Amino acid sequence: MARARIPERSRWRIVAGWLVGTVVVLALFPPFHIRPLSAVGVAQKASAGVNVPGFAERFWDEKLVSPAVPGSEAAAVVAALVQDPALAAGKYGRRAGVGGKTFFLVSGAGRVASIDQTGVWIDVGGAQTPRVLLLTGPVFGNALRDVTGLLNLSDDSSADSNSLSRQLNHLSETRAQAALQGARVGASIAFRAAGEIDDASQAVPVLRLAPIRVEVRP
Amino acid sequence: MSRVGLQPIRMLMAVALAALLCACNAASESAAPHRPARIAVVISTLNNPWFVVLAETARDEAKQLGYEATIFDSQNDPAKEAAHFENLVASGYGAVLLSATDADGSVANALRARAAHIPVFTMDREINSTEATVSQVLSDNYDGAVSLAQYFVATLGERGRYVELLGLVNDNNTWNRSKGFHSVVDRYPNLKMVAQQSADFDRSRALEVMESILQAQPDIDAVFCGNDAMALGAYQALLGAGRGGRVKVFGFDGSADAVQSIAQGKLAATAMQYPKVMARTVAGFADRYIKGERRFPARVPIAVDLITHHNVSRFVDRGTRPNS
Repeated sequence: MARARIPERSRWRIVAGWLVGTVVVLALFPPFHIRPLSAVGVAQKASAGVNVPGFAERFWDEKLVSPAVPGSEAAAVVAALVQDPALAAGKYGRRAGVGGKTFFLVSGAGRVASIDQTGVWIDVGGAQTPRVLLLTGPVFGNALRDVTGLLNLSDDSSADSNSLSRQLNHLSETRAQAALQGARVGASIAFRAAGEIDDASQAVPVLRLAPIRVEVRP
Repeated sequence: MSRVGLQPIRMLMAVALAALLCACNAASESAAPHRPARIAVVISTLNNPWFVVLAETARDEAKQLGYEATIFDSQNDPAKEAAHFENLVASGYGAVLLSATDADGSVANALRARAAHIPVFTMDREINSTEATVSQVLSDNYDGAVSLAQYFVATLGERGRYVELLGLVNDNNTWNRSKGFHSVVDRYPNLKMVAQQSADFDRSRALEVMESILQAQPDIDAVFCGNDAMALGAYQALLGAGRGGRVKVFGFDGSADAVQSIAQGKLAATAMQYPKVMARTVAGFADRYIKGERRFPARVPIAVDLITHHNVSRFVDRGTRPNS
């Protein structure tokens, strides 16, 4: 049986009609949605714009120097370290992560026992050998950043956290070490400082401290 | 038979078919044994023995905790890592333990998993988003490099010419190590860096790069490398140039080869990372997450220890702290 032939023009109209209809249906009822991942409840955090030097200065002034944040008595810490470093770390120190160094925030007074190129050795009483060294050269490490436990760094990038350590070390060198320049052997000295002991080291512990506040009296 | 008469029969057949399907499904569910959640260990490369320890410890710890665990090797290729994530999202894994190929590039992969409600925990290699991950367990590379650099300064007597070989330039560990190192070494004006080049954390690449640097700078005192594989490659190049033993080579990682080389006096020092501690920590976190816990620290630093010829004998079991 012969089928009725559809004219060429009508055929194209039917195809165009189907196409338009398909586009309209897909537009009204899309089979999938493209959404940025930030729109599904998660967004990449931008770490740019953190004012690390300003934050370091505020932290220095409001926390590290402040007597409201108590430090341990230097003589007690030294005595405990000489007896049992692990116990001393547990009693007076603080750790920032898993393993590694223990940080100490100490205050104390004593006499300048000696001075060398690394710093000023203080006799805080009790121990036979001075085991407290206030650094006068470059300050390295994270003691000033991590010793109080008041900073929650877990939301910052590691680069910002490291930069904060550098800034705080710089403040120790520029603000606190200046007072040590006038120190002479035998002078009385009062100080507040932060330092670290490495538990992987088996050497006799010496408190190598980054000064925070120093008063020297001849 | 009229069309109206067929309608109830069709409905009855549809209901009967649905009931049959439900019954079959229930029967198969009750008959199938309970499958434990699966954990994916997506590792940046298995070409480096250090990462093999990291991956295998994570996998074994996950198995110990009762999960099926699979290692996916990204071969330091972000595209391969992306393909692994597509795969594991589609397969419905319960958690991902990730050592990323790219600090920025891997964020999208972690976000994809997060969007599919699959928690991601990074180990060793940081990605630049705390939103994309539940927790990042990382070596304190900066602090380790500071300790290493202080030993470097003391060993060289505060003066000398040195070369630095960087790792992958798009990896945060590369820059945290380099910045930690320079935060110390740059304070000593008589220590001069005569060349700084990337060797992609790769031993053979470090050999080539070091050979090329030695053509231009034969008179050096030390090489600081961003990992142990590069340190061993650099040492090989120095040996070939007749400078082995005279130039101090410093690595980072604490790989078995490097520790052995320090004991033999070939390398000067390295910084021991603890891949087993990191791997066990993230596997434990994933287990706790799957069991319902939701409060985890965004970042957990793992301490890094300096290894020199003074203390090398104490670091016998790579990846485990000597006191643990």
